[in-house]
Amino acid sequence: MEPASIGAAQHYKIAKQALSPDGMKGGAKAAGAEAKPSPMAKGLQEFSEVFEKVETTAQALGTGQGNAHAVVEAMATAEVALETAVTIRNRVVEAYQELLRMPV
Amino acid sequence: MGPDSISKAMSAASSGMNAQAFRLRVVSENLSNADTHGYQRKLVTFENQINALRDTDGVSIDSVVLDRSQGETLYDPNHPLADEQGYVAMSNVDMMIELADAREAGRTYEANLSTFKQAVQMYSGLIDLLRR
Repeated sequence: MEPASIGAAQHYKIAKQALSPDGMKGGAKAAGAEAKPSPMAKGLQEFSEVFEKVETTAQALGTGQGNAHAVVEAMATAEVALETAVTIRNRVVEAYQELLRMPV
Repeated sequence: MGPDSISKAMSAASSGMNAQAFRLRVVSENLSNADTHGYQRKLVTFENQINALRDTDGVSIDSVVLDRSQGETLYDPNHPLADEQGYVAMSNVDMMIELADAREAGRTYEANLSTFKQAVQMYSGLIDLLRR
């Protein structure tokens, strides 16, 4: 294997962890490891909370007790969060494709 | 890990826009009652709002107080609300003051809107960096 391919494989191995909710636990599986959530799972939880906030604020606005500023703020935050997630996903796919192109 | 400064800037700008919108609402209420006899105009005071949970500073409405100054009195003995001397108390709303207040609220709102847009732009620049 040429050195460039080894680098690509390592990059993919690191990037792949971002896609699995408990991926950040890595290889070391301690007995009490599943008790506390991994940073990645926590991040995903917060990510879904951002979208829940958009939904609740938009619903409140629709029923006439909401605040348009809160909706705009929640949507801007959600847009940023989604764009970040999509960018990370694209990087992972890119790393995977680089791996596929690897000459064996 | 709390929210970063850009998102704090966004929430501060949002609270500022909210406060200015409330101010415009009070101005509008004053103007709509400009011809109401005995109406006292409302004043808004702001206060620095500290959200310890999210570690953010913003603005919130402190209180709405009444302007107790005496309004114009008109001599109109035939009016049903006239006192024994025949004078009717008008509202103490000054259109010039209310319109200036409305304009100021609009300008401050625009300023907050600009910081909000700036924060969103900074975020997208940051993500572009990640995108390479």
